[in-house]
Order: sequence, then structure tokens, then C-alpha cells
Amino acid sequence: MNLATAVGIDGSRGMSPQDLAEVRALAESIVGRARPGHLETGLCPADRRIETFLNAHFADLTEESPLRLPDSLALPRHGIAREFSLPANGDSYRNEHVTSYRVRNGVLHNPRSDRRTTKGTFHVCEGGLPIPGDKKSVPRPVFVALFRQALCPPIELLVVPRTSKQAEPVRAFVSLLLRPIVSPEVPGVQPAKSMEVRFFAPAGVVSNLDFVESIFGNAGNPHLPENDAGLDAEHWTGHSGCVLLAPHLTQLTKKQLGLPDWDNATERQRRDGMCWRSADERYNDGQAFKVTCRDSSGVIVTLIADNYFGYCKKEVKTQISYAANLFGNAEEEHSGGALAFPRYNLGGHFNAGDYRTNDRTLAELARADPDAIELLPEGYGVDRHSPNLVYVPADAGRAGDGDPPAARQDLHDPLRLQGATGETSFDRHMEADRHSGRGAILP
Amino acid sequence: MAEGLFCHKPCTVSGGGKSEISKSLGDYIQYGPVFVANLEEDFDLVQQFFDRDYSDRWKSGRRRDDAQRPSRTLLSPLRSLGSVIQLLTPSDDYTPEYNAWLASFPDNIFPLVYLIKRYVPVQAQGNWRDFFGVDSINGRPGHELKGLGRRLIGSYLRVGLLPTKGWRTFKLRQDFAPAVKVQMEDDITASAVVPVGQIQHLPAGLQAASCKFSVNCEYRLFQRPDDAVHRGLDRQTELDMSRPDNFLSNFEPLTAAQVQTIVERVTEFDEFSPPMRELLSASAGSGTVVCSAYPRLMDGKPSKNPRYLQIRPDLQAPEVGYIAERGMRLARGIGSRDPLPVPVGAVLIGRRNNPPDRAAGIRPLAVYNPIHYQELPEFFMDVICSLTGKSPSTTGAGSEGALTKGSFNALRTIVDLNAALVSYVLTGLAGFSTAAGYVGPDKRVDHDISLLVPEIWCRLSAKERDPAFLIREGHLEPVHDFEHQGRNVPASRLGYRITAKFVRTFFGRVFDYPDRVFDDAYLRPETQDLDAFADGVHNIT
Repeated sequence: MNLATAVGIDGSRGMSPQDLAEVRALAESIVGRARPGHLETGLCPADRRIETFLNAHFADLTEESPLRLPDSLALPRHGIAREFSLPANGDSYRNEHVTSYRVRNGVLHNPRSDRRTTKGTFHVCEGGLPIPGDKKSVPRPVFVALFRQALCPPIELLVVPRTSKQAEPVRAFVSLLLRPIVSPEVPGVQPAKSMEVRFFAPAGVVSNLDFVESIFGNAGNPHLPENDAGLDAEHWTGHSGCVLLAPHLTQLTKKQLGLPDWDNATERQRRDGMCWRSADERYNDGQAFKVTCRDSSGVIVTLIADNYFGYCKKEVKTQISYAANLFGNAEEEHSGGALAFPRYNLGGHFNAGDYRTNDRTLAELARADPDAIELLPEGYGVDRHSPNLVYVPADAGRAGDGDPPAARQDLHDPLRLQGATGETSFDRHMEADRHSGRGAILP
Repeated sequence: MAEGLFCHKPCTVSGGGKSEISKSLGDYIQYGPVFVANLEEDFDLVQQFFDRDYSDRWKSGRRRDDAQRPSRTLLSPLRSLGSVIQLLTPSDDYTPEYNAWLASFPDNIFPLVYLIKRYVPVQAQGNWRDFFGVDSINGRPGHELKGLGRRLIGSYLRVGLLPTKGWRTFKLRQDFAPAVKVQMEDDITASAVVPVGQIQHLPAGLQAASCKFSVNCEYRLFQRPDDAVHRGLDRQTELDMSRPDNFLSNFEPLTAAQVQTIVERVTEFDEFSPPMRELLSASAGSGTVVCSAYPRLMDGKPSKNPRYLQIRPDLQAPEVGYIAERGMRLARGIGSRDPLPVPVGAVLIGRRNNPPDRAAGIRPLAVYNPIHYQELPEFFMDVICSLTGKSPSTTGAGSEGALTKGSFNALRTIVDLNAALVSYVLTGLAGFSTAAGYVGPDKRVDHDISLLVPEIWCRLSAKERDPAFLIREGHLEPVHDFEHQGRNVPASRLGYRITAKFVRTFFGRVFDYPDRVFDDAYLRPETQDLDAFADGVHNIT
């Protein structure tokens, strides 16, 4: 993956001015083409897989009028969502769900309320795999009704914030292709495998797409064959996900969605609140929720009735977990972890020979690994990719008596790596010593 | 060292130290002066170490020096500081007479020996005293040691807090340097297990039949910098948030005029670290900015949920990972194009423990000592429940769902549990856990143990990390069921826990006086308050 175009990360630097100009031009050309009748027509391969699943899964309910994913502006690289999320000629934007600001140190998006609960949030559509007891069970026709409603947000929510100050703002759905990793690469054994996830949102909450692509990476224009997971069997687990943001769904009533009244409801429906006593009761009592439809065929579709950022990240996590469960021999883990290298402060004297584990010499290593090591006439090597990394010969430090030359003394200091802060504990710890700022590795 | 240890911290409840595992201990080390009691008397004792012949220290048959060379003097350039520390640390390999001789010296002498060894120039061994001294204060010799014209500095680490708001700090060994860490995981991880037979170029010393490989699914981390409201405290957040390309949420947009006011209050403004100061200075009087110390105001109160996306540290500073990779390749004797597998080496889950709050009716969950080991059945009972102690945002112990995945699962949890069980069985990875919050009802530790354990673990050999070895050698002891107030307390569910011997042996690789770091109150929390311990076990079971 190209980190610059997929996630906007280029080492410690921000994006270059050229990159930013390119993103801006691309954003402009995408909204420029987005007049009615000019949207991308034809489904991308991922969307076709998702629609095929939906219309097979709900064949008995959708014969008259199949379920369709929304036409959308697909964001082909990282950064366009951010350009879309604020007016081209202004520094703030506000709608019912989010207030956004362009600030000196980035973008600020404050959603309507600053946190969300997870209580009562998780709804799963019936049919397919069993529904865990802690989730609310949703009748199939109700999911179909919710899906159809998700495609019809209030017209103001479709405004692309970038165009909000124009006389005729562009209104559209925006979409993203993600390829989150499900199974890691094992070097020499198996390549990394990922699922595909299509993320849709009314353009008024395009900041959510900025958020998810900044975490998981933008996998490119979904219409291009080179980005089609179906043509990339080696790296695709075979699973497709779809997320549709629809914060307006909390306004719907239970009755309107086809839920039964209390007297006609099952025990579980009464427990889950999937029935009504008065006709104006809102679905999930008007609280945020997400509803998922999935079966063992490997497609998972989720509607999220809220724009809180954390929900989007957790939904991708959930879909990775689903794909890992179906794929087998893979786990999605809630885990921290680090590769820890012990360091020792051995003082001013260091004998490389004490740490030798084999007979190889620096010259042999440089011959075997010319891509990495440049051997210098003075007898030590410098790394070609990381000039702070110095390779010292195996007899380094065997000086014994006398004061070694200053230049060598630097090399005798123990492995010293510079952390992100640019200062290591050695700097503060060893007041009496000044180091050259170089790290040494022994062959 | 060229090979690192991949420490994996799954199933860790909130407040259990999931992110601490990848933080550098270097940011937590305190620096302070080195004291002498009486310079001349102390130096006379130090001289005894330099004059001694150490060739008689070995028990018969235990001599480890391969060469038959005469024992090197302490100040010889042929002897490293590490070897001096080993020499002066009592060991079963040394004669009882030698160990008794070591024990006859006062505590404060050893750090002086290490320090002088560390600083004295090679050519000046004969007159080392000339380089060190103390200032005279009011006509009497002071106690703060100076050397080579400077005040000498020792490094100290906090391990626990005192009820009086003081800290328990311990001196780190003179040869200690904090581990270099490459973050591998933070929240969402994808893992797979592969039989060893299929993998080439694994690190030496690996015993398992299968290895686990794990990768971070995220490129940016959704951080909630709680400490950043205190200016200058969270320097990483202040550095990150001074970048021009942040994604921020639930902060306050500060206008040019507001920033101007902040900048003009000089004494408070100076508490910020330099990057945040520069950002605010540049914004004063022009344009809107977000400051890490100003969360969004909700109904007049600062939000408790300020967030930003942090670029993964290993992507921000790729050089650290590259140097780590080069070291591993050299250690394994492989070139830059050969596959380089880096399997999970240790599982260290984190626990969040809380003391009882009898007034609020909150039961205790603080029955673990700093490090426990559980055999797979007990370990699995634990991760199925993923119990968490009370945290600032919750009202008592509760479950975070199997494997701490809570509700974030579209299938039934048994599927995840099956996969996890199979991977533990295949890899044989031992289930260790570390304590955060409290050890027993009285001993507050916050994340001090979470931060310390990876330092200890990466200094253990593969053999020393094997629970069978640790149990056999008395480094781990089983917790037994017992009867309390007529009721059986099934404490054996807690598995095994570390002993004083473990601490003396392995914490001794980090601290000058390891046996003081954890006394019985920490190692056997039931000695703090048996009622609370029994109630804590009942609370779990």
C-alpha cells in the first residue's frame, strides 16, 4: 500500500504542497462532474457483490423493487474527504449533525453530542446466522424498510460542504473503498489478506469518511479493475462489507417500519423493544443504533443511525472480526503490543568480540547484502537507507590499553537508537558523555 | 540487543495498560543526585572492591569464565560494567564466604562502585579519587557526589504510590537503559497461527510447535488524551497536535483573540512544551486553532471525550523499526531480501484492579500480585469473562465481554473463543497477566507495573519465560484455596504468582535493590487485608 495516497502519511512530514494541490484539484474535478445525471453510472464490482447478496437474502421481500446501493461520488484517494468536509471559500460549516472548522493544526469536527452509549445500540437482522443474546433482533421486513429509508436522507444532509456556499450546492452520497487486513502476512509463508468494505454516507457527514480512511486507508477508486478484490484472489479473504451512514433513521416510528404492536409481539420482541404500545413510538426510542444484516455467504451490511466517529471505527472492527471468523485460522484481537529490544549501558568500553555468535566478517556481510551495507575504507560500514546506522567490525573495541582515538570511541558506545522524541535517556543520564548520535550494530 | 521480544497484550480491559506496553520507559525515569554519607569513609570501602582478588569467589565447578585468564580487576577496561554488577550481586554460584563478604558492605556503596567504574578514565585508575568529591557547605563536607567537575546523576523509577501522595522510587542499575520499542499493535489486531515447520529464519531458541503473527489493522490511532488538559504533561499529544494535518474532535475552536489571551499569560503559557507554544504563538492574532488543553465546552463544562487521530508511532519514525529489522537480520544471518518472521513471543494481559469502597458499596477486585500466570483452563475462564475493576467511568467490577470484544461482534462469541483457544493450544503461549490500578486494597500502582513488565520480560531468556521452569525453580508459587469465615475461598483460580525469588533474580536486572521493590504486602496481597482478599475472590468467582 502506498501510505501517502492511501493514508496521507509520509514519515514524520505532512503531505507535500504538491500532493495537497493534487488532492484539491481532484476534489474540484469530482464535484465539478457531479451535476444531476453526471454521477458514476454502473455498479463497481464490490457494490455488485453487495447488491447481489441483499437481493438474494431478501428475494421474497424485494421482488417488486430490488434494493439498490446509492449512486455516489467515490473518493479515489486519501485527502479528498477532508477537502469535501469544509467550504472551498470558508473556514467553517454546520449542519444538524456536525459543526466543522478549518483550524491551523488541521480540521475540527464536533458532532452534535460529544459521546455515545453502546447500550441498546446493536441490532441484528433475522435470517442467516444466529443472533447473539445481547443484541436486538430485527424482523427482515423491518431491515428492508430501514435500508430503503437510509437511501432517502433529508436533502440538506446531502449537501457537499465544500460546495455549501455556492449558489447551487452539489448534493450527493459519497463513498469509499477500504481493504482492512483480516489475516497478517507471514513472511515466506502467506501474504496478508484483507476484506473489502464499501462505506457510504450522505455528503453532509463526509467527515466520517475522512475519519475511517485516515485509520484504515483508502483502497482507491472502486471502479478500477486494479482495485477489484475479485480479481485479486491472493490478497482477498472473499468477504465484502458495506456500511451506510444514516443518522436520520432515528426519526422513524416503529409502526411506520412495520414492527408489531405489543399484543402481537413475541417474547423476544417485547424484551428488545421491537414492538409498540403507542403509534408514535420511535424506533429504538429515537436513540442511536446500528443494524447489521449478514449470513454465512460472506457479505455483511450495516446501517449506522448516527455520525459519532467511534461507531464507524468499531463497525469496521466488527466487520474484520466477522471476516476473520468466517475465514478461519485468523483472529481479530483487541490487543496492544510492542517489539521490545533490551538495551544495556555498558560504560565507555565495549568489546564487540564478547557478543559474537558466529564467524562472519563485516566484509562478507557487505558482499552478501550490498543493498544495505556500504563498506567504507576505514573498515566500518554505513547503512544505505539509514545513515545513522553504523556497522562495526567484530574486533572493534579490543583496544585494551591506552586511550582509543576519539573517532573510534564513538563506535564503542552501546547500541543507541533515537526515538521519536529525538532524545534518548542517555542524553540526560550520562551527563559526562557526549555521543555522536550514531547507533552501532555488530555483525 | 539485536533480537527483541514481541510482547502481545490481548484481552486487556480498559485501564489495564493496553497502550502502556508500547510506551518507552525512558519518559518515566526520574533523575537525581547521588549521595555519599562520608566521602572518605565511603571511598575507603569502595577501594576494598578495587583491591580485592575475585578469583576465589566461585563455588567449585561453577566457574563460568571460559578463559583461564587471571581474574580481571574491577577497573580493568577488559571488564564491562555489566560484569562488575554481576560480580557484586550475590549468586548461588558464589561461595557462601564471598556472598557474606558482599553483604557486609552498606547499601549505598554499591552504586558508588558502579558509578566510579562507569566514569573513571582508563588511564586514571590509580588515582580515581582525584576525580570525585563533594562541595563544602557551611564549612563542612556536603553529601552530593560530584565527579569530573559535574554533579553526578542517578536514574530512578517510580513503582507505586504512597497513601501520603509520595512516590516509591527505586534506583535503576547503572547499566540499565530502557528498551527500544517498536509498536506492533494498539487496538485492532489481525492475527494468524502457522506451524513452525513452514517458517524459515525464525529467531533462535524458539520452542513452540506453531507461532502467532499479529499486525496492526490501523494506520492512525483514535486517541483520547485525558492528561493533555494539564499543560506540558502529555508532551506526545502536544507534539502531535502541533502538526498542520490533524483530525480533531470534541475540542474547542479557539479564535485569534482567545489565543492572544492565552499567549499573553506568560507564566501559564510557558508550561506548554515547545511545539504547542510555537503553534499558539503563530496563531495568536490570526486564524482559528485547537489547543490540546482546551476540550470542547458542553453546557459550559469541558468535554470528557476529546479525541484526535495520532499517526502510528512506528510509521511516524520508521527508522527505529528499520534499525530493529537490520539487527534481527544480522542476528539470524539473513540478507535484506530473505523473509523475516517476527512471531509473538509473550502474552501479557493487563488487569484493572480496584480497592473496596465500602461507603459507595463497591466491592474490591484487587487480589492479584504484580504478575500472575494461569494454566490454560483458568486463563481461559478469565478471558471469557474479561473482568474489569472499577474505573473512573464505571461503578464497579464488570465484564467487558469475551476477549474484551464487548458487543463488537456480529456472530456469537463462541466463534471467537474457539479461534482463540485453538491458537493458545497450538502456540503454547503462556498466559501471564500484570496488575494495573491497585495490588491489594492498599497498594496503589497505577500503570507502573504495566510499564515495567516489558522491560523485565525482554531481559528474560526463552527458558526463563517458560512457566514450567519458573514453577520448578520457585519463581512462581501456586495460590491455594482456603477457608475464611466458614466459607471456601477458591483462590486457586488465580493460578500462580511471582515470588520474592522471582523479584530478586529478574527485577535485579533492572534495579540496584530488587528485593525492596516488592515486599510481602505486594507479593501476597492477602496479608494487607484478608477480608478484602476473600471478598475479591468471591467477587470474581
